[in-house]
Amino acid sequence: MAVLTTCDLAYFYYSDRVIFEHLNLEFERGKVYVILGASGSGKTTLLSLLGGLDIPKEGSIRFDGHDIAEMGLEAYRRQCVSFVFQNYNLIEYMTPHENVQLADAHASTETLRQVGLTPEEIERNVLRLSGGQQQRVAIARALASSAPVILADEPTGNLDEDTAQDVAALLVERARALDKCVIIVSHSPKVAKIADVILRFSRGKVEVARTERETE
Amino acid sequence: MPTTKRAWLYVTRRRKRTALLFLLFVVLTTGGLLGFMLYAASVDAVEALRGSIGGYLTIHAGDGGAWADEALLEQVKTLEDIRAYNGVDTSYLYCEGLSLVPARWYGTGAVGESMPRFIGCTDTALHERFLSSSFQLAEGRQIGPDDEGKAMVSKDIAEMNGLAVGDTLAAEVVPGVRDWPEEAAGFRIEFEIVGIYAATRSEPVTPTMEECDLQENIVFMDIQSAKRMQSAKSPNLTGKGFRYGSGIMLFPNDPAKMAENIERMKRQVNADWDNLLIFENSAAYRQAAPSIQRAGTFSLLLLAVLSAVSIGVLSLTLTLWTRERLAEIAILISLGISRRGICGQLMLENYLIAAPAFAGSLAVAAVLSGRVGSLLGGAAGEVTLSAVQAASVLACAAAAILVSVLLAALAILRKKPKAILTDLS
Repeated sequence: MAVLTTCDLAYFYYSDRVIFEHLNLEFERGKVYVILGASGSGKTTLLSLLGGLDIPKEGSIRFDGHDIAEMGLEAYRRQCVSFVFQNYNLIEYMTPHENVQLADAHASTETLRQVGLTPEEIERNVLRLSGGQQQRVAIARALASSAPVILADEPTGNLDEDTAQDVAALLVERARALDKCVIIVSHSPKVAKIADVILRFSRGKVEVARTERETE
Repeated sequence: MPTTKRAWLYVTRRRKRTALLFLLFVVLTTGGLLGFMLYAASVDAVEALRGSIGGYLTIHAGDGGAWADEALLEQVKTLEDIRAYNGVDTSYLYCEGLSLVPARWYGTGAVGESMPRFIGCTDTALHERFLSSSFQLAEGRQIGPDDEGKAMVSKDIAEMNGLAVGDTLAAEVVPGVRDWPEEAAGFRIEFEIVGIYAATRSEPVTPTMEECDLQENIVFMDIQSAKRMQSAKSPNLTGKGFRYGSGIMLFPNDPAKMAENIERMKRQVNADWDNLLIFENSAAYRQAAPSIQRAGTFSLLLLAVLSAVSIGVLSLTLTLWTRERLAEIAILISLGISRRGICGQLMLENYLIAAPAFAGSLAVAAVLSGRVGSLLGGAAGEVTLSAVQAASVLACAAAAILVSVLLAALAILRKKPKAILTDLS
């Protein structure tokens, strides 16, 4: 059963700039979805709506069958989704462990070790970590949350190629292990390769393509 | 992560900002405390001034047979305009063996050599000698309306005769005592000494002055004793009401309006005003009051300006610093932390810094208050701060912080989450 569903979702600016309409999508636990498309095609808009950061113009979004608007968007963001952003979005004056504790107050350092940080790095101020390490912390924070859905907006956008590949693989591997649904917005074809389902946005339409991985 | 922990981490990790804010709170709150202290001291000084330096009127008997007596006092002392009164009567008695500051009768053995002037008062603290500070209480206490058989002597008399508070002073009528009829000889009265006064200014002494004319040879006594003495001196007056031979002093609430006070008193009290003399003594008050009142107005203005500037500076600072935390606020919103929770965190951070800052400002204000008071030349009186006043100022400071934080956070938190995150990217 889908954990997240869009029902006839539409978003537009004024009446003449339609981003998308009549969007009906399903997202399942344990699967990785990559959203591709040109800039301005509506990828980030969809992610914002799925994350409860914006309100659709038409239609609804359901989490486990419940309308998220009726749940209250603050409660939805707190309990149902977690984010990984392009520019990491860590609290600068906290350590990696404290950043993870923002998502789960009782979180141990285990998740951080699983994403590859050493004990010394875990207690260091985040600004003293490399870009790749900071993104690992952001991923650990998303994984530590009890939310079953992870929304990632260009999570490898600020990383070099090798690091980007490692980080993307790490996110996907850990999320699958925890049976979370991962929805990634990306420009990178290499990131698309790790997806179960690819959603292509183009001129207000969405093309859903299931990969070989998903059909396996 | 609980709000308290987030607030604590911010305060302890952003040390420079915490230190700056701490300093800002100390400076602003100290300014507020000092301003309030000055204002409160000025108000108190004006009130104290009304009870001192001669803001009073005295009713004396005139030539037409009207007296400033008990009946009159009972009427005037209850008037709304009158906040205090003092009835005064003067008499003379002989104190055998009592050494006085010498004058004309010294060494002659005459009655006058040991005959002090006894001044009976309803309240010795309100006698003009004490009001003008030419006498000051050196030991013990003043005499009040409920006292009986009590006296105050000068420091000179006390030292010359080895007298102290608690000792007994005996006085009697013997032939030759001023103002007493012959048949009153033998009248005797004893006093317990409850106070010793010191003269602060010397008065000129001429060879013709008697001992009882010198200020150091005044003995203050309670008004009940004065009444006993008048009954003994003038038995025909018994039952007709005590006469305040040295007048009834009345202290209006507002000595600046003395003429109005007198007119109102004449209208409200049934007395033979045509045959009574009224002396006004408010020149000194009228001279000093404007400067004190100006100090009060200045203090109030200072307080208002300080408050406005404080709130302005605080609001601006907190607004700018909160705007710099846009990224952090956006992250917290994306994590599902409520706007109330974010506001609560901002509030708590400021109060965690404000609490020790308030304590510091109290200490600094206490140290500076003496200097500030002396800068005003003592015109505002003693500059201190009561616990209630301090609590009021600090409560206002806490409210100012609350308002400033809310204003600072409002601009950001009113935005939709997506807009904040868009600004962030």
